[in-house]
Amino acid sequence: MENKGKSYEELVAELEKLVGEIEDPAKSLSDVSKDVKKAMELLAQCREKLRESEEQVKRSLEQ
Amino acid sequence: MNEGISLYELNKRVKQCLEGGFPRYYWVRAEVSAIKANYSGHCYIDLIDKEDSESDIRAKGHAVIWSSSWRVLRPYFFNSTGSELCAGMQILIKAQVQFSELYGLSLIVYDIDPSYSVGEAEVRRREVIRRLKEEGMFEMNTTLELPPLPRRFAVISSETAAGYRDFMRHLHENEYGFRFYTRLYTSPMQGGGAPEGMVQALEQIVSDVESGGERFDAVLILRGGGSVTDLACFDDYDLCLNVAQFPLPVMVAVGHDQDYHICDMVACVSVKTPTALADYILEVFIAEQAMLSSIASRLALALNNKFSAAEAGLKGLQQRLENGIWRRFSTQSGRLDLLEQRVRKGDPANLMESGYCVAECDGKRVVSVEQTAPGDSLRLILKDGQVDCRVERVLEKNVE
Repeated sequence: MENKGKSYEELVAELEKLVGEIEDPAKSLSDVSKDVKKAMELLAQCREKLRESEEQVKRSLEQ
Repeated sequence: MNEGISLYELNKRVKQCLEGGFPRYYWVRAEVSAIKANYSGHCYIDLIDKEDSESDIRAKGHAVIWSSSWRVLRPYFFNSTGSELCAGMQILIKAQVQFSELYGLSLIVYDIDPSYSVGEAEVRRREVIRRLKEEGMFEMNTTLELPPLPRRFAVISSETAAGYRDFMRHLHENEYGFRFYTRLYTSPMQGGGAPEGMVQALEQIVSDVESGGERFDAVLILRGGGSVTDLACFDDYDLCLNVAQFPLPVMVAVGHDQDYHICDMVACVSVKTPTALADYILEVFIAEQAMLSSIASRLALALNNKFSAAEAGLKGLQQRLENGIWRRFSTQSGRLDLLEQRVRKGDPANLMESGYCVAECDGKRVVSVEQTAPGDSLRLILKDGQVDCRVERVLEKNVE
């Protein structure tokens, strides 16, 4: 995936921008549909990153 | 008629007879049954004599010490024996027989031998004590302070003395593992040569300390008991003077039960037996050790308290850290949830699912009537396909 090297913050920023575009009524339907698909993917990635760092913190705390 | 002679005449003859018959002084042994010194300073003593302390009185007599003698004899007797002449005391007096026509028979006392009353050794002992006190030596060694933890000792004793061996075993083989240094200076510990031998040993110790680099905390004089006459050497003036003046504390244990010697009085420490002396020294260390372990346990307790306080502090910090982190995570996940909601809301597919349609004109979404005019081509997109149509009329909402 092209987002591999990006940080959580970068991904969230991208997601927010995308959500803004989805909410823009001027965009064509097919663009919006693509954006939605991409946004859902980004969301999943953000959630994964969040979960990963949560795991990491939990492990550190247990040491 | 028989006129007889006067009592005075008779007494006068008796007096001549008696005093002529006892012209010298006699040393007389007797027991004091009563004694009284009157206002004029003369001392009157009632004497009795018994064969032994249990038997009946077999003779009685009367003695006088004229004030001129009494003034001298009274302090002399007191200094030598430590007590005043009193009833019940056995005395040996130098007296002259006197007979007075008026008072009858008396013994006029000129001298008294105190050693008869308390024993010769006691008189000599008292004399030594008096002399040492007079010279200001008596308490010198007793004012020295033993080091807080004495462990190097010069021991004056005899290698073969049982007391010495007991002491060495007791001190060096103590169950606590305390270590001591002892060095023996041999000396005869009884008999005539003993005081001189001990004085020489004391001198040797001084010279070893001063020139031999030897170091001692105290000097011990040890001996394992013996008869009273054997122990008399510990009342010797020279020995006691040396002990009293010795620059190091002297500890004496000469194994006596009843008797207390001058050596004991002038020494810094005196106990009854060499074993007791070893115990005395060990006690110092045992007490010190007990004190140290109490300090150690107080220290451990204090440290524990410190540690648990620090631990509690760290726990608090960790709690804050965890809380902070989890709060951040939940904020983030809330934010993502919110973004998802917005995505879903903005997805036109959802609208079309509930029957709405989207209009496009030339590939652009139509959101206002102003974007169209009659004759334009419009595409309506529905959930299951699209409808292409033409605009016939455009009506604005507010223009009725």
